[in-house]
Amino acid sequence: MKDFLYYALNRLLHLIPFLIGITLVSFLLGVAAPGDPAVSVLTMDGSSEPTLRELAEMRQKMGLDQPVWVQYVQWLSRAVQGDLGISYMTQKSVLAELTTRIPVTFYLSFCALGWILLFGIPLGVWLSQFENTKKELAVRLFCLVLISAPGFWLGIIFMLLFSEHLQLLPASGYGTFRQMLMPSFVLAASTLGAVIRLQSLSIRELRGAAYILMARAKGLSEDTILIRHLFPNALMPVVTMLGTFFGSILGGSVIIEDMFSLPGLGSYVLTAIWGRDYPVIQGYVILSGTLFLLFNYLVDLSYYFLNPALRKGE
Amino acid sequence: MDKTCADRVSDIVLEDLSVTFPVPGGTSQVLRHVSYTFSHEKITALVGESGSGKSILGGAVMGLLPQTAVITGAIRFDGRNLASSETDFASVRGKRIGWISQEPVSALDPRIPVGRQLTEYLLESGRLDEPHWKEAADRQLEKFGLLPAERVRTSFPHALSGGMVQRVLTAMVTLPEPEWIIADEPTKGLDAFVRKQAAENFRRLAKQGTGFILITHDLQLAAHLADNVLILYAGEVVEKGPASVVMQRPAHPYTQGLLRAQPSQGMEPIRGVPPDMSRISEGCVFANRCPIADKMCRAPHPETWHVTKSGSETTCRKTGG
Repeated sequence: MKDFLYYALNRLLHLIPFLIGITLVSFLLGVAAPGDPAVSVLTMDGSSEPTLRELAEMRQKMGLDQPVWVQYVQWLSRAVQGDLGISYMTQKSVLAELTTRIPVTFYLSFCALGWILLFGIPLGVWLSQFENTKKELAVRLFCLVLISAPGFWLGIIFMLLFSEHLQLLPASGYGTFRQMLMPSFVLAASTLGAVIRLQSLSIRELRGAAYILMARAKGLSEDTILIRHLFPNALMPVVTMLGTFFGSILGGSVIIEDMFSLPGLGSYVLTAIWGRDYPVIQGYVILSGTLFLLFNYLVDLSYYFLNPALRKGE
Repeated sequence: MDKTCADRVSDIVLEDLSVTFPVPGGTSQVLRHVSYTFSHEKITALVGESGSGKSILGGAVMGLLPQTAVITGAIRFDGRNLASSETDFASVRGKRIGWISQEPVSALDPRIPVGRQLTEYLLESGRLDEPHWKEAADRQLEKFGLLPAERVRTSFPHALSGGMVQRVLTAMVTLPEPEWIIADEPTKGLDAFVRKQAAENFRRLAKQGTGFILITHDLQLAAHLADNVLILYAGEVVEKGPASVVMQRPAHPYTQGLLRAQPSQGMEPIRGVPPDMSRISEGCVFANRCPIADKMCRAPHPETWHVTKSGSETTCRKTGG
């Protein structure tokens, strides 16, 4: 247990440079953005025409007359206290807006993850039993389609099929589990295909490993070998991939949420991008970047259990 | 647990055993027409260079070859032909014939503590009760000098040295008290001291009545440990006999070459390369590398065993006759 805490803390400290990197990128995004933030704030209502005096006052108030690094420190100290600024468009606190939308995106992501864990991994294990058969070829082709079909296209096809023709699932909206089925599957699709293939390949590759032969020579049954030796060892590369693919799930949710009218982070930031609402975009970059790091941190922690060789320090 | 009694132990008899793999554009016969009786009272060494088919032979007896392998002939053990079905293999694997892997260091699951792997088979087959597994593991570890047993039992494989892993493997394979042990290059990648230790362990096991097949390219180890030796070349047994005879007075030119290639004998390599196993000619399999081969050797002729004066047997028509 003490070993684990040490490992967990060690990994946590590794995140710090990345977190700083995220805030820096997010801040520079605001600096590099075309247009003057002071003008944006003062013309928010769309009708007023600020005078030069008003502009100068606003610049001073917003700290825009300070050197860039001072601005960064001030901005960062506000950000860590939860003040991500005010949305140009809605005049509401960015943090408050983001936090009301996080649950939707979380729900969507976890449903997507559910598809992968409940179907991707078992299907991959199952597929590994049928090397070089027609069955395998069929599933591999299916995976290829899942991996290569763009989410927006898959979304339209699914809506046509399940909502228009079969009238089984609602095409949009948020609230019920049924409404999550389609968008979460579309979101998970490419990762799902990749996980099925990777899981079956990694099991197959391990089949020839010396310790698997040894397990067989010991007299263990094929089921025991699969459950106790093959599967846990073959899970490592899949878990690693899930860590990086979580990023694509977060990114993919931007389009999927918009398509299926889900009031999540993705659709919010999309509106912000159209409206050049930089504080919102900055907030989104910080939030999604941090979530990505956090998920990868969890993946790192799971290694501790999957790979005992990591346990004694590094 | 039932005790192994010497009179109950069956020999392992190979009858015209061949192993063929499909390769692009044909087949590759990696083991050809091997007939031999492994006596359970003797340590028999299978010697040959990489690709000679010695590991294939061991794998065939264990039923550990890839599914694409086609086995013909018979592997008789205790009145059964193991090669006839997977269930026959499964009935002896681990339980009656143990197998020590070629690569000790990677032969243990990196994720599971040593003690658990040691007792895994006995637990699964119901020969050991869950509450007693720790004592059983510790006892076995102590028997092989793996001390302190509790620490070794709870260790993960990566925390042990190569020599310790080798001993863990031997302890693991011998725990169900198999009548036979097939050790495939059991000392690969280990240093001289550990090799010697492993050899002592094997000798002790053989003395206790365990039949032993040692697969190796290490002539020193074979000479040191084995009673009988089989020399394999390109999937065929080319010489067989008591270890002392084969090592002192090798009859087949290939065996002579192998002995000369040892570091202590001047490291003179055998010229040429082994033949392509998918295109084996009808004549002597070693003819194209043999320093004394003539036209007759290369011409098709039936394989016959020639008994030498010193008591070994060889397929060479020139030195054996």
